[in-house]
Amino acid sequence: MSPAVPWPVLLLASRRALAWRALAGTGVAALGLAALATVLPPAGAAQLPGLALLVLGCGLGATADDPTAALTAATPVTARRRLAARAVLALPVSAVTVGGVALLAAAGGVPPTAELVRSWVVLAVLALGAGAAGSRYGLPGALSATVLLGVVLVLQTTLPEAVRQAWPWDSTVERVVLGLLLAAVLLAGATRDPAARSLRSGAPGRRRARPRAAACRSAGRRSAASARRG
Amino acid sequence: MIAVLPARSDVVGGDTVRALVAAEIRRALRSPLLWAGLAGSLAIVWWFDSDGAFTDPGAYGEHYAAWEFPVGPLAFVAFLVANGAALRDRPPPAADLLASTPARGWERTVGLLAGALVPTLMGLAVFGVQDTAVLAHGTAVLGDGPWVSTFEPALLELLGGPLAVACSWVAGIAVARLVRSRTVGAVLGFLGWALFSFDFYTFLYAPFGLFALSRSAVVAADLGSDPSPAQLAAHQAVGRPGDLVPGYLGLDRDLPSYALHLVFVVGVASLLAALALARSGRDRRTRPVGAVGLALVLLGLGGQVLTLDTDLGWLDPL
Repeated sequence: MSPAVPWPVLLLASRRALAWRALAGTGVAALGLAALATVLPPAGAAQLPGLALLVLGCGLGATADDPTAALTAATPVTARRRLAARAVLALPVSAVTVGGVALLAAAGGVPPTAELVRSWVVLAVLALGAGAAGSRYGLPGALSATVLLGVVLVLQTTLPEAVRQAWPWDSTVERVVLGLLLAAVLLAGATRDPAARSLRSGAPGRRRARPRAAACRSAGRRSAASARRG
Repeated sequence: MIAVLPARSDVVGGDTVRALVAAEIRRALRSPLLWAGLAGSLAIVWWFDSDGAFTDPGAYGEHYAAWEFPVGPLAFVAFLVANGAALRDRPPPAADLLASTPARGWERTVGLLAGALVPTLMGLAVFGVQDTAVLAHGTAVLGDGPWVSTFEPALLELLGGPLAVACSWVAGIAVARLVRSRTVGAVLGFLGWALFSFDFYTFLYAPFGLFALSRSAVVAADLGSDPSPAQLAAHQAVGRPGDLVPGYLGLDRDLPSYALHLVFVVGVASLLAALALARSGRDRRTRPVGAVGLALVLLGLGGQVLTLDTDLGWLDPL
């Protein structure tokens, strides 16, 4: 933790590290998709708000990208706190876009429901988690978020009814909780202190393992023999 | 970066291009994401088969009319893998190193485009499995209630999915050559895939549906809420009210217009390939690829407009 860096200062500093262009681009794309609802007949229009949320989620994944990560890893502000600061900046922008999506969908005859907000919350957190996990392994956050959200779209569209109604996820509440749990696991894993990880798992910076005693003895014998030979 | 690489006046040898093609195919074969997409597509075939999606009567979006739907995951990852491969030389040191190799950017793009062979064959495998699964049940079923017809999937219908996957791969490379950002590539890929391929059902109205890169041979016509018996009998099958439009849907398998749709898809892939090649350096061989692509796109679109046996008014179902 970094008690020395107060939140307002951290937010101000994170402003420049945020992928504003990705957020803005996906926001415009999401609004464009929702605007199509005013054109398409109801059967087609009904699908569009959900699709717009997924596109917004792809952009939120880019929030996890931290171009300064290589340098700031050595600062007292943890990766988790820096990600939280970027999320605090990005989520209101995304929320305002969701409001626009809801208004456009309503104008197209698809009245917004609580489901829209609930889906946005789950998808946004999932996208952040996937983005953070991808960023940790050198992938752009938007790419890993897009893959995860693409999987969500495919599963939601194609899973057989019998599987969709299986007991662990047969209600909305259970699906929301499962989605949030998955996001929490991704976020917790992806924002671990990189230094702590390297000490345990062998990445650069780990302590050198002690050579085995047998190896030391044989090396000692070889060097003694070569010394005797002259 | 490729645009600023020094262009060579002499023509790069065929051996070099062949070696690049082989290398890209090998790399594509080793992509775990591509294999995951294949597994996802096969899983959907299995789910659809176990649900009787193609072999039981049902709603318009849930059976034979959604024939190419299972190829969705493969098409999606094909775009992402191709985009990532084409952006391999994105960091400046990589571009500098590649400048000293025998091949120019143009030949490297040819190699990348040839990598489409791998996901295309995977798509063919998916449709082979799907075809076998449907034929094991007898036939595919179209329509609902008393208005049902059965069909054996035509050989032509096996090509739609693989071509959509190939087009997706080529699009991934074209986007990478236009915008050298994996973030933009991922978002554009998702949007394009959703609009033109996986969620094509959402946009299956004229004129949007004409531009779908993935669709079936089934064509729909709005019969209104109270069709006459003659109207109902004029179609091979009928969908209940609520699918695509509030009224009844007359459904027909229209293989000639589907063939022209495939021509359109090949044209789009060729145009995108020409775009990628044009962005990779000057070469006079780019122009014929683009010209052929444009001709095929116009032929496919124009042919569909002329041959489709349905109204093509604004937002009429397709």
